[in-house]
Amino acid sequence: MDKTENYKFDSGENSNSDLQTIQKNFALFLGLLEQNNNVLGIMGDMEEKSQGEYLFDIHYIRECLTEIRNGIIQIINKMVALGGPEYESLRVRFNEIDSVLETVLPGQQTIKKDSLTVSFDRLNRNRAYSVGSKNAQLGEMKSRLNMPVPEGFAITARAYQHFVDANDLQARISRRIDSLDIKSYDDLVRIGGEIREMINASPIPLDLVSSILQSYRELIMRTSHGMISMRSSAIGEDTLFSFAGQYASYLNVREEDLIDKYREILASKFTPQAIYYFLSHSLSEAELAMSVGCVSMIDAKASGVVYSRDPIDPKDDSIIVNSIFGLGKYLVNGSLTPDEFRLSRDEGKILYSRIAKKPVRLINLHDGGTIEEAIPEEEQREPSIGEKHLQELREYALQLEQHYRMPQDIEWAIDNKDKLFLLQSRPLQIIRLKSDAVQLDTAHKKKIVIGRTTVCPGAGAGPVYHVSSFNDLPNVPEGAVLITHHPFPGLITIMSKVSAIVSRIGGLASHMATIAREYHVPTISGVPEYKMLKSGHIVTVDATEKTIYAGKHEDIVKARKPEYDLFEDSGIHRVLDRVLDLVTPLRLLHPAEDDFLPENCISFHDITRFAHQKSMEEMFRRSQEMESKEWLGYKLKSDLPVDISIIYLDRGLSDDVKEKYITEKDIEATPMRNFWAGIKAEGWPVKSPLPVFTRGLGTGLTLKTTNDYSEFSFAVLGREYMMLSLRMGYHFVTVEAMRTDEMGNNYIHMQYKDGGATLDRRIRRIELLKNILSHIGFSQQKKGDFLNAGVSYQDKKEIDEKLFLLGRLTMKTKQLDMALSNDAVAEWYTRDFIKKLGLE
Amino acid sequence: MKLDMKRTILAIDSEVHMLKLLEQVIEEGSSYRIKTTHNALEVPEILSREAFSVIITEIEMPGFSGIDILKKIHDEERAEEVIILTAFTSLEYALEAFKYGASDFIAKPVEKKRLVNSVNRAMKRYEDKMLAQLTDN
Repeated sequence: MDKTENYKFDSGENSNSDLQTIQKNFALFLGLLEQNNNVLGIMGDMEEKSQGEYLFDIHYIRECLTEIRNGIIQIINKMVALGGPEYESLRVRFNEIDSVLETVLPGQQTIKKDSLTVSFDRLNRNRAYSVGSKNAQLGEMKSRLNMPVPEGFAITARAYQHFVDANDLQARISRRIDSLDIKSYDDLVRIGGEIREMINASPIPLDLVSSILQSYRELIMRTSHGMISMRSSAIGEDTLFSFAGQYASYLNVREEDLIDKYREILASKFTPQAIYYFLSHSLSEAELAMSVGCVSMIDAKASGVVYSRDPIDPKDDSIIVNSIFGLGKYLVNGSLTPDEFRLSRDEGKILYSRIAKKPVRLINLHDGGTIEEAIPEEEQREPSIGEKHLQELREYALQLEQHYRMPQDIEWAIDNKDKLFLLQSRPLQIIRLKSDAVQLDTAHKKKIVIGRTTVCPGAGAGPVYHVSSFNDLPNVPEGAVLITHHPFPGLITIMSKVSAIVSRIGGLASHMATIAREYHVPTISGVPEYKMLKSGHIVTVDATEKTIYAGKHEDIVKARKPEYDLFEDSGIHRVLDRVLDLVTPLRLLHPAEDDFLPENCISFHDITRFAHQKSMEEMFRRSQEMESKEWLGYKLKSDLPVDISIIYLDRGLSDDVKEKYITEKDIEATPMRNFWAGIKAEGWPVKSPLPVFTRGLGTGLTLKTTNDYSEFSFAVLGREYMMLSLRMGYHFVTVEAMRTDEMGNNYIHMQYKDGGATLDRRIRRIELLKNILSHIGFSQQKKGDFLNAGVSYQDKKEIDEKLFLLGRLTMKTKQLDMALSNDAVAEWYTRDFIKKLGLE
Repeated sequence: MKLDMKRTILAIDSEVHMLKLLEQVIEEGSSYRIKTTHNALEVPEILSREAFSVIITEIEMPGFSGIDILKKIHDEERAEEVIILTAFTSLEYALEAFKYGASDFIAKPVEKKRLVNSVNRAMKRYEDKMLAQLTDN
């Protein structure tokens, strides 16, 4: 319902075109506000669901998003109607954020029209929907961050679609996938094999062949050699789920092999492990189109991975570099134990280094392919990377972490001319450890062996089971402790049934390590005596402490259980978190600052915040531009540090144009007078401003001191009507009230949102308000830190009393969220307020 | 008198995410055992092999709907209590669900406490039913 219907404009004898314009603008504004409240309500609801107390599904996220999108489109339409075409830039920003959102949300992704191949120079991360995250990030690093990234081009998802359509593959693939039982290993192998055969037997359309070859020739013109690697870059890969190492990649591919290798990479979407991975994460294969990156090969003398944080101890202040000689493949597939270095984030001090024995390296062959080469004995224990490059890596890692606002897992290589290249950057998954370490009595437990590296913390117990290849996997029993010489890709298919993994070699940064952490399987690597673990014997693997004990020790398993927030960590919560990243963070806080601009909106919330602010300003600006060339608005004169502009809906401008101020006692609107009396009764809090935690964009909170600012607030008033919007420090409150002789017409609506403290504290403040308001008969909806409360059918006296109370409450709760560190504190304040407000 | 009964739950939802959450909620909030499937078409076969105390199911799923499952339990006079947990909360569905004896009809998203309470109630009803059968015999 249009709220303006609630108010019968009584223009009376003052009726003139100015007043009609005010009323028209006010109607637009109210419409915008209503959508704004609606959108904020849904955002609040989503934030609440993300806190872990709820079960929800993907439909929920989609429905919320649809409503938010529709709401924002209406807000933008109204904003443009109110303020003119310059606000169209808001729509541009909206569409940009929305297109990123689409890539975050699994399913319902349509492959967009795009060329079949695109050079990296023309890519950035917003193109992930077309070229996959891996390619898009390389483009981003190259074109936006000017980082040293090899030349290359992407074969797009569109090309994949073209291939699938030309060979009529989709229906045939889907039929087979639908018939598959994910828990049956044989099914995975058999059906995967059938689909791969189908793909390998299908010709690549000629236009695609020529497009690939042409891009290749252009690429080798730009580089000094013709060596390229081809790597999968599936749509959806490395976004919500890592897919680390699930798909094929080929090194040093020759021109004549390009097309066959391309097809093989497409087929690798259907290896048993890849099918298992996408089905176990409830992704449908149709939504994961495959793009391929063709990257100029680095003739690497050393390669490795840098983590911008320690994935199993994020509080640890170090950057981790893993490094080997030659190409990086032997590191990420777990064939070699790498050198490991830890550098302090700030100063780059080397805190730890361990040089591993590296008996072999993988190198490029000049006519295509790669070969393993023995490293001379005396060089095997040489460090594979020097100080200069370590520092360079540290800087890039920090820069990328800052850019993507999350910890990064970055692959790199150093060429024979000593130049460093970055080959990939993706989000690093972090495990939170329990903060209160339990003291365990392990003195009487029999230790069998000790390992070197905790790949994934935790502990698991079960019968020992040795595997050495893919063929051993079908018979792995439920709950086994899996022992392997080195981790290999097929292991993923049994991740969900083993209780721990132990490997002879491998490090923290192999693909299997990433996946083990994703599946929360306690894992240790660097266990030379792994053969001492005899098949069938029951052992307990304490991965946190890198120790393996004989027998089953429940106490260890229990004590070592890492603090996975079950909910936050489950797939659907990650989807919601990623969606919320684009929906709720507020960057635009201060309208007075220069960066309060549409292009700086990083979220939908920013867009609504911007529109809300500007709609208020526009309403007044428009008034200003009217014939009188003067403010139709008045300023409220008050000793409180609040800047309030006032528009009257039922009277024109004062004859005396100099009279720009209204004193508190001259407020004609009764509802406003009562509310204001409540505000004055409490007075402005005199205590010094508390430090404020700005709403975190990433994981951390930044402490910021606040100047106790109060921004543009306003009141739209009639004799019997008030619409007051107050921004008080970090929260804003809107109170709309009608007070007539007729009870049936009367109502009060109040909305309350935001704050400077963390979400849990803001939610507590809303809970407190809700409790108090229910004492005085308000009905209410609470959605996260958004409260929508209302009361109607009240006589004048009741309206007056309630407005007075709301005024007092508004002041009492100003910045109160900072103080509400736990529920007990909140309850204490609730009781205290109820007492002080005389509501007992 | 305390009955020695296995208290087991079968959960069906085409969204694997949802099943994972359900498993976590049940394992965390109760001592019941839970089995899940994302393929509703498997349900007749599972039910032919095994009896459960409580079934939690979505309504809209490819091939075999939650209402089909309810009907099956109802028509075969099976003892399982069925809780509908769905994103599709039309009145028609709710009426139909209760017509076929659903124990509860819950809209997603749901607070986990609320779900656990509903499961506890359904479990209690199931146990009472078993107890009554025993006494009758």
